[in-house]
Amino acid sequence: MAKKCRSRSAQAIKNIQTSREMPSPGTPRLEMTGNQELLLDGCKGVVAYDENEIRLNLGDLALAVTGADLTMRTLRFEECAITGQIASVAFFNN
Amino acid sequence: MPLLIFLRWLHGSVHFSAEGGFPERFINHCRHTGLELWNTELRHGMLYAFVCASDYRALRAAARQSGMHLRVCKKKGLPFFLHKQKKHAGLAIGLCLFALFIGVLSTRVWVISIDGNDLTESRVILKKLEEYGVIKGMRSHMLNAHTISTEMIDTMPQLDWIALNLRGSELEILIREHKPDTRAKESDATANIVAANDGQLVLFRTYAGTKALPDGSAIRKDDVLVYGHTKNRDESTSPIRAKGYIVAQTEHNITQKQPLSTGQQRERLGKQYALHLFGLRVPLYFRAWDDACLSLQYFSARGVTLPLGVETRTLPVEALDDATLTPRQAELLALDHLHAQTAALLEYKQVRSFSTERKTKDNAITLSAKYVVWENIGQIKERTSDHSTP
Repeated sequence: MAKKCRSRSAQAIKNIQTSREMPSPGTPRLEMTGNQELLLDGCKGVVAYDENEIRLNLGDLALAVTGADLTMRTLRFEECAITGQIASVAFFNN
Repeated sequence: MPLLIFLRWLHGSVHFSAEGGFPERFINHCRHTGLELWNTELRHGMLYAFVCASDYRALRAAARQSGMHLRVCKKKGLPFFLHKQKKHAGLAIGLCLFALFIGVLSTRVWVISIDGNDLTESRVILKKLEEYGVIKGMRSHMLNAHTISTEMIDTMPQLDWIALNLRGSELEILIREHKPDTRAKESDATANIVAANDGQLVLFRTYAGTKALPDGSAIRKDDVLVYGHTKNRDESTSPIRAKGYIVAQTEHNITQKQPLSTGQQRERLGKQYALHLFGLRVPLYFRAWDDACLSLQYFSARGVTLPLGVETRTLPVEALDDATLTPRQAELLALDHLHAQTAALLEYKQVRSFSTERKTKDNAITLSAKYVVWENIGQIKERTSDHSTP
């Protein structure tokens, strides 16, 4: 009975989030300013670091940022800021 | 962002490079151990980044584990600057003393400016202010502007209003003086209008009284122009004060004679100096002359008067020979005097024609000028007896 009740409440929360377009907790948040700056919240670490590509670990996903003159302006807790001439942003499954 | 830059500068930062090994491992390791890297970039296989100066030593473990070799590129910030300036302790002490000096000076009044006084001399006001302790070099917080202004108005009746405004090290004193009514009160006593000069009448307007002469008449000085009486209906006369505006054409001659030998003795002036430094007077002489003419000149920079000045005391100490002028000098001197006289003479007059003449005679230069002018010739003359009435 308690298990059924719990699953119902979880379903209700999910429904509210879906209806309000709220991200579920733990979902990475990405914000871009043109192709100059990328702000990322929810970064778990750096998978690969190259001159033209930075690949970040987002938990279930991986984010690949490619471009030129890429600079990781800051990497603090789960926040990451990348600046430079960003050419593409791609997601991959880990 | 500027605050972040300032904090990083305050704590000091190290720009370093790391090569070999795995950059991503190095970054992850730093992140896990709480070392913050910023402006991380990879160029030609080398990783460049900034780290806080105090965290640089802790980077070594992360570098060792990721197989990278660290090298310092640049050190920036206050800790490194201070470390570098350790050898120049004198400079630091000098800077501190300078800051202290400026700080102390800014707590005092160095410039006192007075504005709005036409009748009362600034010197008199400054002397009075000195009684209340307002002098150059006084502490700004000791100034009680309200009390001083109230007491000064009480003790100086010629002042209507005074305000002491302190702006930094400058004390601005604004004054409004009590100006006596200079307009002469018009008397009601009976009076005639008489001619102030010889001449010929040009314009005759009578506002009160009886006209004495027809237009265009030649007149002499003290001739009555308007009688101070008026006729009544019963043919009797009543005395009044004559009023009118009478313009006449007159002639004026000015002569200025300038001898080549002035007969005056030239004097050699002796000077004594004293320095005024931040309100302190430093005389550069041993015995002060009595009755010396004193002038005080303060230095200024970009319109701001500095508390540094030179006091000059001047006194004639030796008589020299009689000065003899050249004819040109004498002429210029005479012309100068002539101009001064002409300016005074022609005030409120319209010049119709003029002629000038220059003569050299008896070792002197004589300049003469003749002016034909139109002027208001009417002059009020109060009647003392009835002999001036027709």
